[in-house]
Amino acid sequence: MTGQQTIEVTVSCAGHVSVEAKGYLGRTCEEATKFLERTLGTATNTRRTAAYYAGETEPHRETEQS
Amino acid sequence: MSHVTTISVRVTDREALSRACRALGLEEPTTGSVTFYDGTTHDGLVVQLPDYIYPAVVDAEGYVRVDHFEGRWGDPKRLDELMQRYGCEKVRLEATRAGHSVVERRLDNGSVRLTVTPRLPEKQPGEAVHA
Repeated sequence: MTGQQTIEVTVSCAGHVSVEAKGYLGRTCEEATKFLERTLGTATNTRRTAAYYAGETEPHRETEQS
Repeated sequence: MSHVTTISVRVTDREALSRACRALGLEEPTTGSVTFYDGTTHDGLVVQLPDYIYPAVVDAEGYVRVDHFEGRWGDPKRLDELMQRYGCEKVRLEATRAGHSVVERRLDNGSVRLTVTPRLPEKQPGEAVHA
């Protein structure tokens, strides 16, 4: 966790909605905002920031055995 | 922040729609059907927007149907106001249902910012003390 965790929702004059998770590390942010994203409508775009990937290890790669 | 999601809103919550109508001083939505100028009939929740010849209809999938003839038969801004208020009321309802707190404020550009502070997890009961 990095400080206080909040979810900031901005509703534009035309009713367009953006949801930002703040203060979360890794994939916990997606869990935190799921209840809004699921019930407001259809997600049209998701942009992940560096904090999302914090703590991730190098991608695991399968290697073929000869 | 860790991610930003943009959402295309669908009006699927009658309670949130009712609250939005009340906040804007509109009549409560009713269940019914509206036939537009082109003869198409739409069923769903009917909302009479100010100065609209044909009421707006929210269909079963949450899409809002209007016939304002490019603003001649109703100001599109009235629909925008309803959609904005619905979005705010829906966020408030869902956040409250989840036990979270919400603070709302209007931004200079006319958008509304809702800051949701998640409820802290329940403290786990401490271990029993045995004498």
